[in-house]
Amino acid sequence: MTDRTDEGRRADTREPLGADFIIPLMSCGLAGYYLATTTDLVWEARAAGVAVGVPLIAMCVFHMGRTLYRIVKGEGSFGFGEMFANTLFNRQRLALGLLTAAFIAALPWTGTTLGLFLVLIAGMWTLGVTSIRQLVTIAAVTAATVYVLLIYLVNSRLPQGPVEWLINRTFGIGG
Amino acid sequence: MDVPFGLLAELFGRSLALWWVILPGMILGTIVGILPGFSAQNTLIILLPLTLYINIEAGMAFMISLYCTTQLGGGIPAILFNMPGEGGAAATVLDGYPMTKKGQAQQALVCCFAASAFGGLVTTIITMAMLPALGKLGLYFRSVEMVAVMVFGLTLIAAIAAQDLLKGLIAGFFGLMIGAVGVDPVFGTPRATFGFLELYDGVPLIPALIGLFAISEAFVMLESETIVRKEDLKTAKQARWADTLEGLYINARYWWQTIWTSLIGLIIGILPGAGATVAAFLAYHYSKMLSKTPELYGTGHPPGVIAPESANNGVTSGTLVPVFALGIPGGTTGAIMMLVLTYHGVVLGPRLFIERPDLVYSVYMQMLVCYIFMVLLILPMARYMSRVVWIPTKFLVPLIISLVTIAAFSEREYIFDMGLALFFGVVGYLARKGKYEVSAMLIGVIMGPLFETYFLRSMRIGQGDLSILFSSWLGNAIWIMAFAALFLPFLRKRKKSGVLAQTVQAGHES
Repeated sequence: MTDRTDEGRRADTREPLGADFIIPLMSCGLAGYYLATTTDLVWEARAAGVAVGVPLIAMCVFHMGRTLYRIVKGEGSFGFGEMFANTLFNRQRLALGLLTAAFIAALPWTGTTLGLFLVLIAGMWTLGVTSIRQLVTIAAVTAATVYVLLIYLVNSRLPQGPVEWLINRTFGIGG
Repeated sequence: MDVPFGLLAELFGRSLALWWVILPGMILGTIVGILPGFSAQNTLIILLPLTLYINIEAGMAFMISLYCTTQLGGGIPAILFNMPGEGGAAATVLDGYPMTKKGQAQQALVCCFAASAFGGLVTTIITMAMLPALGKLGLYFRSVEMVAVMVFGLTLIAAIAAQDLLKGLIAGFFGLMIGAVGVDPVFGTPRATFGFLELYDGVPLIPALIGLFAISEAFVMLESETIVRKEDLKTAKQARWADTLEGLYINARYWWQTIWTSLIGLIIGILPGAGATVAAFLAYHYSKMLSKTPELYGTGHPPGVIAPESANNGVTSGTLVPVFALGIPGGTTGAIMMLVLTYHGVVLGPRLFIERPDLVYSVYMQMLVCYIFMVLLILPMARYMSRVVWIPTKFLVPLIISLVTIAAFSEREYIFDMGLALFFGVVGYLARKGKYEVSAMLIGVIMGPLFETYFLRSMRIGQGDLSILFSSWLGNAIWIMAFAALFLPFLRKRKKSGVLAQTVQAGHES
C-alpha cells in the first residue's frame, strides 16, 4: 500500500496489547447480558445462547488471562499503539464515523438525495479533497444516480426530503 | 431416465433465441450482485409483475439469468474493495482482495468470472443428466442431518482461524452469540434485544455484512492513497489483455478444483436453508484443506477465489432441483420461481418429468446459455473493471461508506439498519486492529440462527434426548466429516512441522 506519512511513532518497544481485550470484553458483555436476561425462559429458548455463551466467556477469560500474563512478563503493555492516538488517520476515521452517524440521524429531514450530497462533500473534504468542482460534481452525480436508481426506478422507501419534494412538484414524478 | 439429446438440442436453440431477455437479466443481475444489500430474491419480487406478464419461457429465462449473474456480481466488490456484494461472495474476499492489493485485480476478476461460469456450466450439465435422482436427495436431509451439516459448516471457523485458533474461535463464537439475538424460533420470546423492536427478527445479515466487511475496510483503507500497493500500482496500471489470458490459464490449471467445488455448491443448493454462503465457505475450507500449499491461502492465492466462486454458482443449479422434483422450494428464490410456474398452470412434482420434460430441461438449458453468454460478455470486462482500484481512497472511502450505509436500508427498509451497519463497521474495525477474523464472525452470524432452528427442531422430535443427533447413518457420516475437517488441518500441520524439524535437525547433524 502507498503509506501516507504520519507523525507520533511510539518510543515504547513493548508490544501494545490493549486492543486484544476489546473484542473479548465485548463478547463477554453480550454473552453475560444474554445469559442474565434469559434466566426465566424455558430451556429451548435459551439453549443455543447458553451453548454458545458459556464457552465464549470461558475462552475470553482464558485469552485475557494469557494476555495479562504476557504483560506481567514484560512482553507487552496495556497500550493501544496508534489505535486511539491523536493521529491524522484516527481524526479522519472519527470524523467520517460522526459524519455518517449525523447523516443517518438527519435522514428523515434531509431526505436521501440531499443527505447523501452533503455527507459526500463533507467526507471527501475531510480526507483532503479541496477542489470545489470535484467535490460538487462527484457528490451531485452520486446523489442523482441514487435518486434515479433507488427512489425513482426501484421505488424504495428511502426517506424523502426537500429535493425529492421539489422534483415531485416540478416534474410530477418521484417515489 | 435417459437423457433426451434431441430435445436438448432443440431447447438449446430456443434458449439462444431468448437472448433479448437473458442479456437484460444478466446486466441487472451484475448490478444487483455488485450492490450490497440488493439480493436476487428482492429484485425478483420487485419484477414479479413483469415475469408474470411475459410468456413462461421468457419469464423463466429472465429470472434464471438474473439469479445466476447475481452470484458472479457479488464477487466483483469482494475482490476490488474487500466487501462482498452477496453473502455467497464473503469467502471470495479472503484471497480475492489480497490479489487486488498485489496488483492482480484483473487476474482475480477473471478467475472469479471463469470459475463462476465454468462451475455453473458443469453443475447445470450434471443437473440435467441426473435431475430426477438429485431431486430425492433433499428428502434424506431432515432436521437431524441438517444439524450435522450446520456443525460441519461451523468447523470452517477453525479453518479460517488457523493463525490464532483461540482468537478465531472467540470471533466465531461472538458471531454465533450475535446470531442468537432475537426471538427464539419455538416460543417467540425475545432474547438480548437491548429493548429494540427492530432486533426481534434477529440481527439482519446485510447490515452485519456491510459493517463487518465494507465499512470497517473503508476505515482501514483511508491509510493508503490507493487500494493497490505503491510498488504494484505501476503493474496494475499496465493491465493488458495478456492478464485476462493469464487469469484464464490459472483457471484452466485448477479445472479439477472448479469441478469438485461446484459439486459442493450443487449439493448444498439442493438442501433447504443452507445457501450460497455456506457452500462458498465449505468449498474454500476443503480447497485449503486438500491443497499442497495451504499456507498460501489468505495471501492472494487464485484457488482461494476459484473455489468459493464455482461453489456459489453451483448452488444456483441446485436451488431449482427440489422445486421441479418435489414441488418444494428450498429458499426464497425457489419459491418465487415456483410462484411464476404455478401461475402459468404448471403442476410441480415428480410427474413433471413425465408430463412436461421440455419445461424442466428448458430452464436448465437457459441457465447453460446464460453461462455461455457470461464467458463471452463479462470476461472481457475484467480489464476495465479492475481499473476502479486506481481511484484514490480520498474519493473512494466516502463513496463506499455513504453508499453501503444506504444499501443497509434496502433489506428491511429500516433506518435502524443503517445505524446497525455503522455499529458493525466500528466492531469490524476494532476486530481487524486486534487481529480477530471478521470472516469467522460473519460465519457465526449467518449460521447461528440456522443451527438453532434445526437443533431445536431435532430436540423436540427427540423429546430432549441429545442422542437423536446421532440416530441416522447419513447424519453420522456428516459428523465424521465435520470432525475430520476440524482436526485434519492440525494433524497435517503437525506432520509438516515434524518433517521440517527433522530436515532441519538432519541439516545440523550433517
